[in-house]
Amino acid sequence: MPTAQHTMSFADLGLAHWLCDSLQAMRIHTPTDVQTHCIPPILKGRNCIGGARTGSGKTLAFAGPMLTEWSRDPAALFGVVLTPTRELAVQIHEQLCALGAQLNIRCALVVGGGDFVQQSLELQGRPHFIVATPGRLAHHIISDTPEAALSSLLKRYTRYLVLDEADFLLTPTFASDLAVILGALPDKTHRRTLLFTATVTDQVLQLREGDAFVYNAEDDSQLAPGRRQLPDTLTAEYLLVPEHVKEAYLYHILVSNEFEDSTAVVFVNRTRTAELLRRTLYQLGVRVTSLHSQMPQSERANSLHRFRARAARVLVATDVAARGLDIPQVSLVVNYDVPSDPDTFVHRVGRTARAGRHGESVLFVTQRDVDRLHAIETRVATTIGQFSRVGDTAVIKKSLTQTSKAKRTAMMAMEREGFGERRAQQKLRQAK
Amino acid sequence: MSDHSDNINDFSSDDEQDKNILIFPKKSHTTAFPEVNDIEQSDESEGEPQEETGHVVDSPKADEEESKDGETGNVGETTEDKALRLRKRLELVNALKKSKHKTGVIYLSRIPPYMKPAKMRQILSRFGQLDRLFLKREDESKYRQRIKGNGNKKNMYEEGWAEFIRKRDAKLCAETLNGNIIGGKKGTFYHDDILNVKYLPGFKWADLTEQIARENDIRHAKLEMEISQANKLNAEFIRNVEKSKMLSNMNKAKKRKAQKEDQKEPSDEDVERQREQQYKRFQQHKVSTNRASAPENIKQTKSSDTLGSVLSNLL
Repeated sequence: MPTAQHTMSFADLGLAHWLCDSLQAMRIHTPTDVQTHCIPPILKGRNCIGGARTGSGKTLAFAGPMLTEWSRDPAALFGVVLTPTRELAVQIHEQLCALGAQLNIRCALVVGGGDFVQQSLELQGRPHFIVATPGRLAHHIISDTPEAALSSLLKRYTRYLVLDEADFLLTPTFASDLAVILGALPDKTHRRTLLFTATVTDQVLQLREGDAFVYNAEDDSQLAPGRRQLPDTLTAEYLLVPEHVKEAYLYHILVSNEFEDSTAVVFVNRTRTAELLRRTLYQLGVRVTSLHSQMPQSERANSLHRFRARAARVLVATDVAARGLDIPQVSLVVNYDVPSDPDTFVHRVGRTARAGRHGESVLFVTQRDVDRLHAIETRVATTIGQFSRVGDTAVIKKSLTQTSKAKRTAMMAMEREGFGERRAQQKLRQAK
Repeated sequence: MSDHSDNINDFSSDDEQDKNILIFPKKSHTTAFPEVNDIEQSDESEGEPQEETGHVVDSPKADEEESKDGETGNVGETTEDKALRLRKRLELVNALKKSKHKTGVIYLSRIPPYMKPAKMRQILSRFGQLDRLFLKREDESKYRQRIKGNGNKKNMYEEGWAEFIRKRDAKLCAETLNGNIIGGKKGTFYHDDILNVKYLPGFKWADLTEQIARENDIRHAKLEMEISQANKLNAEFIRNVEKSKMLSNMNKAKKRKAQKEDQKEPSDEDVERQREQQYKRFQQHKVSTNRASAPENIKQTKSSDTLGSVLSNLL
């Protein structure tokens, strides 16, 4: 929301003219909060730690200054952008390409699940920017050949490193890959590092102690007790159900009069549950698709497209879809499992009730999730009410038997097809 | 992948299915005859004739003509004629099968490149009446690899089995064709391809499908069991729901009674204590977060050396 003192244009912030023109063409006229605050210091040459929600224009906040500086001297491998999920990388890649189309920008998309050889050819063609997930980029650096000379090129030319969703990247999961990538980049005094994160973690706090420019849209002071942390247009409710009849309740809610035409995202904690639910709901005739890490990348992209095009109205997803993804208007978010991290809940329900529209979220609580529910309530500083629009008797009458049958059939099919075997083998190989 | 396994299950090659579609342009006609692809039936069963056989016995040319007829003109008459002819042929085949002859199965370890089942049937029928034929399609990944390298887009078959109505014919076929070129008219595409044919002594078509049938049975039984178990769980759930309803009603009644008699209502503490007694305690799932401002007891303090070095090198 631009306030009176913020009514400035992108040109005032110091972005290049050609970039302002292409923004104009994309009908982006006024900079958002995070953009007005972060762009000038970055252009002055400072590192930056930005804290802002997804959808607040983070991408432009780092892409703007980066492209401005790059256009003064268009060099290869000018910037490296890292994100935790592949879908997010694709999204940022698209945006960068669109922004720089005027200057014939070349962006390489280096994500897992894609064709390795094709990616290395692309990298050899010296793209201007690399948008990557850490694992695959580290793999390219490790298997670098003298002819390709990827790491020496990176060392010489790279000026920008961007970590999107930094709180998630700076966890032990990505540490070893990040170490490899940082080893190949110029050292910290010779490059600019921009971090963008939605949550302030210990790691980010530690980094804040340096001389980087810090901007935080929702400062910790805003997390004061008593302040509701969810959008006002969101109705968050919980439903107490036993573990083994969750599917029946889910199906009942999805086909109830109220939600039978609405798009919904169902979040689960595990890939296996996601697959099981997708198969179960599919058998019951719901137009459903899924998104989780044990799907081939092509299928992941495909299912997301299907959901965006409304060919499927229910998306069963793990937390890969919880952050940053630009999913269209969703009117219902079901938390089928309660996340262990209360912040994940905030990310998940953030998929609905965007831009002032109305949204609903239902949280399935089993007998073992009461503590988690309380943690979430303290995090969002709201008491979550009980979802009362579904009656036990109705579920028993209408959906219990058919869902349990569909679930068993789905379970058997998954067993027969060996779901999860590949990952288990991978783990075994890594342990050796 | 699943398509492929389905193919194995129904044990008939695609081309033959295509052919069936050609033969029966209308669905209603397929119902008039028994299912083609049901090959899990044993050989001795007489009720299920392979009407597929009855057709493919004659040359593919005849088949094409038939289908053309069906498209061009008087559909009703031709289809009726065809039905009649088909039935006659089926009877013929059944009669042959019922006769004293026993069937013989041969194995083809190699199929000439891109040869289709129809062509194979034509070659083998030189030696006598052929009943069922199954050619195994190459692996899906292999096929995709070939397409990627700009290879031939036709389907390749790897191996196959064929069943002759007379055992004699099978033996003769194996003896004649094994290790020899296919021959026929000179200059034809497959003239010089060598076939490997083995007669499988004491082997019947049912032996091929036996394992699949058994696995299917097991799977079916397991599913039944799982479902009955699920039903038990559901019944338990339903009972519990009823019980809870009953309890809440009882509580309400008690309250009403207490109010009526103008007694002192039980204090909140009492209610709480009652609840404690009534309800079971469950072990709770762990809460963990790495948000900096979160309370210490739910904070994740996992950290690694690599992460430390990454952090120190970042800014």
